[in-house]
Amino acid sequence: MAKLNPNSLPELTKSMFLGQQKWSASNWDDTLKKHSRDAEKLLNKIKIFDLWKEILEIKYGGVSNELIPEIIMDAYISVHFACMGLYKQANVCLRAQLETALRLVHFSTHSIEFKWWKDGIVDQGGQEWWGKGYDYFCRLEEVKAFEKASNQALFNVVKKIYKILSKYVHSEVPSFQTTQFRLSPKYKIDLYKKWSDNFKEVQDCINTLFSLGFSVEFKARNTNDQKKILRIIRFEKFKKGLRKSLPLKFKGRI
Amino acid sequence: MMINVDALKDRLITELWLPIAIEAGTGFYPKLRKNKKMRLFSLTNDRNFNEIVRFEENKLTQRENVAVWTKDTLKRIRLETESIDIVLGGSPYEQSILGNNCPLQEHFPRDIINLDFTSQDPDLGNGRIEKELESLEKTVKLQDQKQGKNFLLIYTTIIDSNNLNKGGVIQTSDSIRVNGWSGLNINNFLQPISDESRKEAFIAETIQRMCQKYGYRSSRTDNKVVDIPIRNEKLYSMVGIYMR
Repeated sequence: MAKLNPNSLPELTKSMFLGQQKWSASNWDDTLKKHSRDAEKLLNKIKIFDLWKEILEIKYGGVSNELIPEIIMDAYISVHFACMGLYKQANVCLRAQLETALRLVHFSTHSIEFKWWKDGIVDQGGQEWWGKGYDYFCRLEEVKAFEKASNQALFNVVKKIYKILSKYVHSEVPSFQTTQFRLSPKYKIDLYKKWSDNFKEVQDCINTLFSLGFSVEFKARNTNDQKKILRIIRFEKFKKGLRKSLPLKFKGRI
Repeated sequence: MMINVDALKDRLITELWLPIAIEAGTGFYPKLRKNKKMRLFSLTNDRNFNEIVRFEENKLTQRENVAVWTKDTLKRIRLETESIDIVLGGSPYEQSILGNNCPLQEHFPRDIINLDFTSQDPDLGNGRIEKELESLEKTVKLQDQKQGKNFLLIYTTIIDSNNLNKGGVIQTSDSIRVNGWSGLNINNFLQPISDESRKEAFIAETIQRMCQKYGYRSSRTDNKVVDIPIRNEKLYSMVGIYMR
C-alpha cells in the first residue's frame, strides 16, 4: 500500500493530522515518564479477563465469548485514551466496561434476552435489562451472603462509581475535556490519577461481581487461579467477604 | 511458575527450524522460485515473532499467508498491528484446539505448523507436556480433516523435572479412534518417564506415531536440545517433514 503523504491532504485534514500526531506522541511520553509502572499494573489487571474467559467458556461460552473481548477492549482503550491525555473518553470507556460486565452476569442466565439484546428488537425505554437499579443483582443469594460476610454493600460501590463515570458520558462540568485556557488534550497528573483510581475501582467491582455471579465456576478453579483473581481486588473487606461467603478453602493472606 | 525462553528462540530458528523449512519449501513447491508462499501457522508472542520474519526473509512465506495463535488477548492486540493476516487466541491453545468451537477450523490446512509451546508463557507443572501432545494430535487430525497433504511440523517444549505420564498420553491418543489404527503401541518406555533423554525420545516417537495415525510419513526429522541458562530445565525442539 502506498505511503500517506501528509502534504497531499486537504488543508483542515492536514492540520488535524499533524497536530493530532504531535499531541498524541507528547502526551504518551509525558504520561509514561511518570506513570509507566502504574500503567503496567493496570494492564495486568486487564489480563485477568483471559482467565475469566477460560473459566466461563464451557458453561457460558455463548455469552462470555462475545462480551469478554469487549470488556477487555473497553479497559485497554481506556488506558490508551488516558495515555493520550483523553481523560474524558478514558472514563467513558470505563462505564462501558462496567455495563458490559453487568450484562454478562445477567445474560449468562438469560439467553433469550441476550439474543433479543443482540438483535436490538426490544425497546427497553432506556432501562437496563435487569430492571430498575441493581435490585436483580442484590437479590442473588451469593451477593446477599457476601454483603453479610463483609458488611459491605457491593452495589453501593457500583452505584457510586457508575455515577462518577456517567458525568463523563453526559459531559457534566467537572468532566469537561477543555478549559478556558487550552482546548487540545494535554497530560495532567491530577486527571491521570483520578482516572487511574476510577479504573482500579471498576476492576474491583467487576472481579467481585464475577466471583459472586459465577461462584460455582470460580469455586471449581484451583487455588492458584482463585488467588490470581482476588489479587486484582484491592479492598481487603471485599476479599475477606468473598473468602468467607463463598467460602474459599485456602489459608493465609492473598 | 512461568518461564520465558524468547532469547533462545533465535538459535532454534537459525540452527533447526529454518534449514529444514527451506528443505520443505523446495520439496513442496519446487516450481515456485520467487516465493514459496507457504501457509504458516505459528504459536508465537508479541515479544519475539522472529520465525515469521526469518521465514519471510528466506522467501518461504508472506504475511498474508500467516496465521498465529497467542494465549493472551493483550498480546493478540499487539500482534494484530504487525500486518499478520490472521491473529487468533486469547486462550491457551491446548485448551482451545480441544474444544468444539476452535476458530482454527477455517484456517487449515497449513504448510508449516509451528507448535512452539514455549512462546505461550507456559506454567510448568504436572501434565503440561501431556496436554501439549494431545493438542498436537488434534492439530494433525485437523490437518488431515482439511485434506492437508505435505507439511512441516515443529514442536517445541520445556523439559522440566516433572515425570511424563506415558500411560496417559497413550490412553488419550488411543481414545481417538481411526479406522485401521491399532494404537500408539509405544512399549519401550517405563511408566512414568523421569529421565530427561527418555522424555525426549518418547516425545519424538509419540509425534512420529501420531502423524502415522493420520497417514503422514516423515521424510526427514531432526531435533535440538538447548540448556536454559541458570535453570535446570531444557528447551527441546523437534522438526519433521511429513508427507502423504
